[in-house]
Amino acid sequence: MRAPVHPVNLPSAGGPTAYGSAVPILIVDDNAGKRLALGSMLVPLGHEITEADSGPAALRCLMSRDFAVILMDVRMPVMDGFETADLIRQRRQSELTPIIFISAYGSESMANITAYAAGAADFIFSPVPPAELRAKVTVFANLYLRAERLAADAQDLRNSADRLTLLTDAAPIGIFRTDAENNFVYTNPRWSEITGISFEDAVGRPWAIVSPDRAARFPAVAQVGDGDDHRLMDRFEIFSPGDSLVRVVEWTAEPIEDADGGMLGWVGTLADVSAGAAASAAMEAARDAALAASRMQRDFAATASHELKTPTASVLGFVEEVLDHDSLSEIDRKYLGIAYRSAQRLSRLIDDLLLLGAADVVPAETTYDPTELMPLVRLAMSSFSGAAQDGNVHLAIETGVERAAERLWALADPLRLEQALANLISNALKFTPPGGEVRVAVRGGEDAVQIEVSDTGIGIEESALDDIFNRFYRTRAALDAGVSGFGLGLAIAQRMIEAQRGRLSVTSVVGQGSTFTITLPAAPRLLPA
Amino acid sequence: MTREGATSPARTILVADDDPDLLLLMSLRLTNAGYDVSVASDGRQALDRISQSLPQMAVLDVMMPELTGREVLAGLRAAEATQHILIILTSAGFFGDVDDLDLPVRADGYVSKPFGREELQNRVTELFQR
Repeated sequence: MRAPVHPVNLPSAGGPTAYGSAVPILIVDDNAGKRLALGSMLVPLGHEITEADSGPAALRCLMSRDFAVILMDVRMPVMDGFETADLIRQRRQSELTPIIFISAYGSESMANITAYAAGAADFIFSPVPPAELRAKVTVFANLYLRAERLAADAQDLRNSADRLTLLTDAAPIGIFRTDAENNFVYTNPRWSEITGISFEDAVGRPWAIVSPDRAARFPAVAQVGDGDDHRLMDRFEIFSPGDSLVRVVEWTAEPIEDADGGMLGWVGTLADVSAGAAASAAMEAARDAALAASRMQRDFAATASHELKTPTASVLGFVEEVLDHDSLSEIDRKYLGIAYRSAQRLSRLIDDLLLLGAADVVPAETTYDPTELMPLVRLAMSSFSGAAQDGNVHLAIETGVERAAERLWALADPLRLEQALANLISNALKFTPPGGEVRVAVRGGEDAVQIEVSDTGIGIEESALDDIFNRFYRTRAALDAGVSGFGLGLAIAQRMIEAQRGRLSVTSVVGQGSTFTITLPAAPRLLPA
Repeated sequence: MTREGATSPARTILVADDDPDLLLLMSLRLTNAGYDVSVASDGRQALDRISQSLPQMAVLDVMMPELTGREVLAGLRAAEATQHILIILTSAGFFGDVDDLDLPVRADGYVSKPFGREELQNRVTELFQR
């Protein structure tokens, strides 16, 4: 830093000195020698000194800039120090600028000096003691510096407030603030867009202008108790004059507290959630429609079932009764037997078609319950023990995996899973020649479980694998072997499994057998191990 | 087939179905099996006759006019005089309809239509032997 040179009429080096930062100081005296003397005394402080040789000159200086302190000679020609000070005080810009009057001790103006100085500034008797002058100037310089810092802080605050306002003005969400009486003190443009109320109309008015019926939900500051969770959130509709729904609005609000926890008002946001609300309403409507359609189909299926099965039951029942008569001729018995078997076939077809219809209906209504697999598998298998014996086929649960399988659960619809499994077992038995084997295995991991039905039957040609799940599809081999059926069992099984969000797959080797695998999502175990 | 009726007094059964053919078939078979059978052709009739004559068992079709089989079942279970009567529900209904295990009031047995020659008789015998 440069050493301060002679300061008269020149800004000093400026910048901080050993005593602090440089401040502007005005020396007013008609005597150039006294100005020089005062300036010299202040050199060690490093301040920036300006000189004026008269009251009017001082006023001119003050027009263009501020000073931290003014050293004012009382006795000057034309306009004395007091007059000059009066004029300085009258200007708003300089009304608070401290003035140190300099006057000869014992002069007649001493009474004036004390009176004047008591109100606004200070005074020093000449000859001026340098240390006293520097001490007084330093006091005012420090005040000036502090005021400057405060002003700078205030400006910073204003700037950041301006920046914040820019942000909130541009925010895509409504933002508001209320005072302690719940009257709006700030709303941003988006808030006005959503509510249709301009900032000018909102400010100073209560929350009720936005939503009269929800005003009660927005407690006045006085009503909010300590320790409550003060954060509020609610939804309301804004209607147009014609009463058609205009907007669904969601708002949040949090109280603003002062340092002592006192409430100053609320600050909050407002969001237009109409689109989301409309979308979820549409989704709900679609789901209701799907359920209604499903229920209608279900009612239709129930009626169809009743109407088809009741006469079938009559036909089968009465033919059975007649077949029971000992008096029947051989030929009548033969023909009635044909009618009976046809009616049975018809009855099975009705069952299958109803099941197939059910598989198409159920997805909307299918329940997914945690289902313990082994009891279900044993139940499904138990109804085939007779058929297996009749066909001389060994029907068994695969050993080795059974133990671990005891703990497996799937997320499934038990009734439909059992139906699908029954169809697979029935199918395997039909296509497995005497002496063969049908094995059911249950396996599982963290995410999925499998039920496998393997047979040592005639197998399926690779070219047919894609078709076997189609309704009424029958393989050439099945037709050639004279295996009875409608080609519906696998179609039903696949639909039932897929309705449970599962998968049915197949592998097969002609002449060696086939394996059908049901894969279902695993369920968390419900029972203690 | 067990002929329970061989030793009197015969067990009493009321059979209710709105299909006259099936009603005839069922009462024929149960009568042949030795039971004392009475009939009803709708749910209201069934409930009235059962409450009056207090048979030991009722075979009720699920889908009947006036009152459904399930409503008759609920009515019987609700009254002290009839709550111990054995009930079999029959149904030509849709998959899963017959043995709906979630219902609060359950029957003692279920038979789905069409039923084989001995299916109904076997179920009746089983229940009486319990």
